[in-house]
Amino acid sequence: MLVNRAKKYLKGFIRPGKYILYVFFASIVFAACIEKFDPNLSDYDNLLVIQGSIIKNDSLQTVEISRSSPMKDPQIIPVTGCYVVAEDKLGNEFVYRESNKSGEYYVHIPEEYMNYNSEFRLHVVTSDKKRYVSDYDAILESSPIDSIYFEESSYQSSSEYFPNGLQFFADLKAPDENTKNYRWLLQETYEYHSPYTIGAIYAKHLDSIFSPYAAAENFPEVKIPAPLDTLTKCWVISNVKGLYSASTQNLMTNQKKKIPLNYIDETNPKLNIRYSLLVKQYALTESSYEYWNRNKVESSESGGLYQTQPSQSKSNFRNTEDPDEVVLGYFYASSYTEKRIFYDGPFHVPSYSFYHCRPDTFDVLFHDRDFVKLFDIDENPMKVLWATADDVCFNCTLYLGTNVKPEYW
Amino acid sequence: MKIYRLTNIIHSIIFLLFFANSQFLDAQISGPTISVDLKDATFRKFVEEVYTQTNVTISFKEEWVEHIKVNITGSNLGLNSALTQVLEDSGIKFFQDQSNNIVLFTGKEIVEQLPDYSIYKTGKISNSDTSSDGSKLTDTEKKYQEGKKVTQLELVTVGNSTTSTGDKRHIIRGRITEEETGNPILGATVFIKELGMGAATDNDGYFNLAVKQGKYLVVANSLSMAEKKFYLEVNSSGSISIPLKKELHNIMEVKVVADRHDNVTGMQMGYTRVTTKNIKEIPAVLGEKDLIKVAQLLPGVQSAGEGASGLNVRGGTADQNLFYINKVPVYNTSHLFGFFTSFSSDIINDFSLYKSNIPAKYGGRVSSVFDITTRKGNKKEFFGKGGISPVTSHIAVEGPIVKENTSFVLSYRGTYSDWILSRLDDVNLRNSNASFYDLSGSVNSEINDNNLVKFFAYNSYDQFSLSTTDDYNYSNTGSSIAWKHIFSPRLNGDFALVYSKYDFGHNNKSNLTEAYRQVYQLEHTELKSDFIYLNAQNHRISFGESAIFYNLNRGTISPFGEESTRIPIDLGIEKGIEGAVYVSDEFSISPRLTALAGIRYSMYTLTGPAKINKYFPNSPIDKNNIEDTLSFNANEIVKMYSGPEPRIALNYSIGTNQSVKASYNRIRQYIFMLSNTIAISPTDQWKLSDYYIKPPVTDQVSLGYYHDVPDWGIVTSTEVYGKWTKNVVEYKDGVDFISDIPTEMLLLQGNQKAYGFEFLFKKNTGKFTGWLSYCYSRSLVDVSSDIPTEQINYGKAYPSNFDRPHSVNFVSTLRSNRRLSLSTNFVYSTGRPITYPVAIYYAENQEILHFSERNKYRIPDYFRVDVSINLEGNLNRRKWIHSYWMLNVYNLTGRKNAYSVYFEAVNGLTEAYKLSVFGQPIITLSWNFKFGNYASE
Repeated sequence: MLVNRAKKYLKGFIRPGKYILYVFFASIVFAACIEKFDPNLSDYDNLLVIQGSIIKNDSLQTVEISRSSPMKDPQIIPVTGCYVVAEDKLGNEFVYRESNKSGEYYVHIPEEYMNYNSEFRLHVVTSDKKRYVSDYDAILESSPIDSIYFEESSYQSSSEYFPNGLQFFADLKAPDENTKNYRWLLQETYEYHSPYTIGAIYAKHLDSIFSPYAAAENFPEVKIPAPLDTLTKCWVISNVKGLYSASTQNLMTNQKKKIPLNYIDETNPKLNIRYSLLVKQYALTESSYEYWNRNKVESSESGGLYQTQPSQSKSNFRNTEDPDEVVLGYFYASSYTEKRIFYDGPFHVPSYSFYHCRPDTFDVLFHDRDFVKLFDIDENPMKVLWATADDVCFNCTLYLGTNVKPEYW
Repeated sequence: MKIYRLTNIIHSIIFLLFFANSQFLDAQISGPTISVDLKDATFRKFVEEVYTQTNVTISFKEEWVEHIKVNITGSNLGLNSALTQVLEDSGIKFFQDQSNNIVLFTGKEIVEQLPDYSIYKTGKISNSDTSSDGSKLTDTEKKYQEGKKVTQLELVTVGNSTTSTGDKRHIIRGRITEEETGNPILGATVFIKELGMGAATDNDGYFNLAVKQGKYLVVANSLSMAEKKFYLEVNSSGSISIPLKKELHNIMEVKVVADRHDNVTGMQMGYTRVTTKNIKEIPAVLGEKDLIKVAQLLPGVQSAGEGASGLNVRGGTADQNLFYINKVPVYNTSHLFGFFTSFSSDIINDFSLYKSNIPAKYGGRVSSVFDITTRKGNKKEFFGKGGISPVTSHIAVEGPIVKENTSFVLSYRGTYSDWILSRLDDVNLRNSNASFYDLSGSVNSEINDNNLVKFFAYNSYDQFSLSTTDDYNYSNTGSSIAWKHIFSPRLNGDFALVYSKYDFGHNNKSNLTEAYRQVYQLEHTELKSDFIYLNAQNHRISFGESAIFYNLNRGTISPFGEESTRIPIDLGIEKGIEGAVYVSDEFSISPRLTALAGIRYSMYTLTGPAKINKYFPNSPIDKNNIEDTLSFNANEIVKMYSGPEPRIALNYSIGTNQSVKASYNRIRQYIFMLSNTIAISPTDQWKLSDYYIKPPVTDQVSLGYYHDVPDWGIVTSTEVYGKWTKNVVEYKDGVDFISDIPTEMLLLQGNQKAYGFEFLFKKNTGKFTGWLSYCYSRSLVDVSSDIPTEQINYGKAYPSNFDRPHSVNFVSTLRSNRRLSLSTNFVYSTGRPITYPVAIYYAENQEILHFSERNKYRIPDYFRVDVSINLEGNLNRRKWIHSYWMLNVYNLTGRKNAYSVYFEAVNGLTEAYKLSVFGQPIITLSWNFKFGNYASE
């Protein structure tokens, strides 16, 4: 076990190619080990966080203002009542409004103001009259995404190891005159199915079994979708966590191959049916790239002595009256191009996502519900054996996604 | 307290007889006299009084005299009658030998005169005068007769005694050698009892003494050698040779300080000498005997983490230590990134570590000097040794080339760790491989009594491939040729030509497009000469010079593989010359006060070709502020730095075995390491001081108290120190050295302050040997500036990565008999500082950590217990091969000591993880052998 963990750990070094391999040797021979640890992080710096962007492709620009949270209780602590203005170099100002989401502010900036190389900055005045201003940042032109693809591979971080899965990559092929600094934001969509279609409904108070439609007709509280399988197919659309950035500053051409994006291990049910990745490639200025790349490096440090000192990704906001105040967050301007890729599952063996959907045969289960959804578990079409399971096993919308099929599916 | 010479009474014990003879005491009345005024004093006080006044030593057991209260007053009292009075009613008797030394005893009386041998004849004790024929002595009787003889000390006479030379001092030049092999013994000492002065031998076994005409009792000592005493009659200057015999029963002896007089009477402070032989039993990772790892068990020497390469001496960074192996500087001392040291202990004889009061002949690194010397090679017969452990095998051979004159020694160590990798079921690891070796050899030739030539060559190589992503390789290559010439008994000189080269290569293949190969090379060529001159007033004057030519090819970064479009970078060549001259004088101000006054003047010149950016004044050094570029032609002076480096020390002796010392040192360093990692990483690069980067300068003051109890083999030292270094190099957050950004944009320079207290208690003799050390040390850095981007940690001081205030080491060896020994280490230290996150925030739904001020927290304390058992094969002298087994358990308790603590977000939740390198006991069994004469190690 220890050895396995050690290897798992070791492989963490391989991927980022950092200088931590030192432990490598020791680990194989003698089981280095990694365990969760409570460093008792009771100190807490309560700081203002301003995170905003102006994206040429988007009609609504948003700024999120919050306060940093303690390590032991991570959360977004929204800051409301701020006055937020974006300003371009020509002196045009765009005043933000608070949105329904606490701590979020938005503004529509008409397209004519958002040209390539236009520079913006952000002013924020908090409700206690502290004034903050960011540096200017320019909208740079993104380049077409050359290709997005995936490969089967293993994955390791310092605390996770997966023997097999899908690693997504992007190839960058940008014109030399474009920016050399990029960041990728990923949005994934995947389809999943609830395992069972309602075959019958058991009405407890009558101790009788009804066909689904009969039940729906007779009992108003029973809702049956039509057709019956509309609740078995669902789609989840979500943003992929993780920081993905790359730069071609060190390269002779503005092209880079195999920039690693996200990884999905083989046991992840996302790959069971169909998976789609939308990749948005944001063009960054050098200083914005520095910020995001710094965050990326920091988040992937894995504890060797050959790691560098943790260093702050420095905010480009400052308190106009108190330059010593530490402010977190960043303001940047950008534009993006996008590309979508599909993967048709399953990945080798489908992984079962509804572990809790073990069928319960009818007679051993007396639900506290008035109406129990049933399905036929007998594979012989001539016979019927009713069983039931949790509602979510009949209704995928009760899980993560919606049953509205995305238009690109 | 040398008075309690229990060892000396051992041969006196055989004089103990079983009947009383009260007569002999009366015969001793005409002895030395004393004047005392003691009231209710301890017996020990009385003994000290006696020793101070008469030089007579009194030997006794502490428990006999504990209860004795001494009340005696008077002047010119006969020593015997005084002692009789003191011992009255105590039941303790005494005996005085020919040299007037006194031995106390209880119970049976002693006779000073042996009766004839025949007393045992019947197996019964009898006092009869019936003598029998001496020719029929039994063995027992012969031995008995032998014991009767008073030990005869050899008299060595230098010069003709007929003329008196009065107060003039004569220079005695001596050489101490091993009787068996003829090899010089370094670090051996001679001590003249009467004068309370002594000298230690240099690397070639030579020493000098300046003494007035007279007859002296000289004691010559060396580690594992039998002590030799002889009378030296000095009438004029001249030379002597002192061969010492192996002390066979002391093979297992552990002594860390070679010479017991050093600690107290020598000028050294913060000095330790460790010999390979003496660390034999100390448990080590994987059973690899390793001097550098042992050094970490000494007070004031720390490392950033378990197995990390690099040492931190008294709060200095790892690049502030200078490693010399036979005068060849070694720029990377680690194998396998720090698990092992890059030289095999087979060829190492010893190393000296200077932490403070660094002799003026050394310079160039501000924290410490590790001066490693190799074995000289047996001049009389061939001899070899080797060993096998799970990771390496090693072998060394030595022997004469020209008998009695020229010898060689060769050693090789290699690893076969690949088999471990290839047996793993993981593809990535199976495709990895690691190997290293080191190879060294030396030839020593004593051309004649006045000329000695030594040649040494060294090579170490490391290669490591990690899966398909990274390959590393690095190597040290060096050689030195040294010539020692004795100009006269007063003056000798050492001349050396030294070359050392460090090569590094790294292929990074983690991204095809970005794949690169990085290489760099540092060449160090040095010419040096060191002289020692002993003048008639016993001033010991060292002087000399050295010139180092650095040729640093900072290397290239070039595309690796066909797909790589990496922009090639040539970081260029830096050439620097570091020259130094020094002179230092060690002399006695008074019999108790010795001083060392030295000064070294070092000069450094960086020469062209070079292109230097000029920045707008008073603005941050960054690419937006470049005003102009300066061009320098080849050999044109780009920048010069120079300055004096005083080295001053005082030693005040309190009695024979105690002293107080103080010293002040200044050292400059012109080469440093570019490193932004917590421990030294293999990719860190050496860099010379340049137009912008000023050389670090350290001032160190230290004060120490030293107390030895030679007869119990106890050596103690207590030192406090303060160290101030300016221009320490620190790195801007998150900088990348694999780029063509000028280094001045990546670096910041600040101040480092270190202070501490070190205590060492050592026991060198007996069945139970070892040491206990405690060290309190702090090391703080501040990099402040008016410009916020040129600050680190908001300009506030922060602890350095290896600031571990408390550390306790206990190292011991218990020998149950000559073949079996048990050694243990207990190691404790405060956890190293670490920067923890103090807040978490969200930027576009990404969790981002906000970190505290630098190194504000600490990882958990470190504690480890190691045990090793050594079993020697049988000790038959005539066996052609001798071997021993060593069973080593490292981290016996399996404590999961934190190596680091880091944070990682898994499934959106940031968790802290603790990494331990050795999370369970590591058991290794190794087998070592030697062939040739057993005693020759």
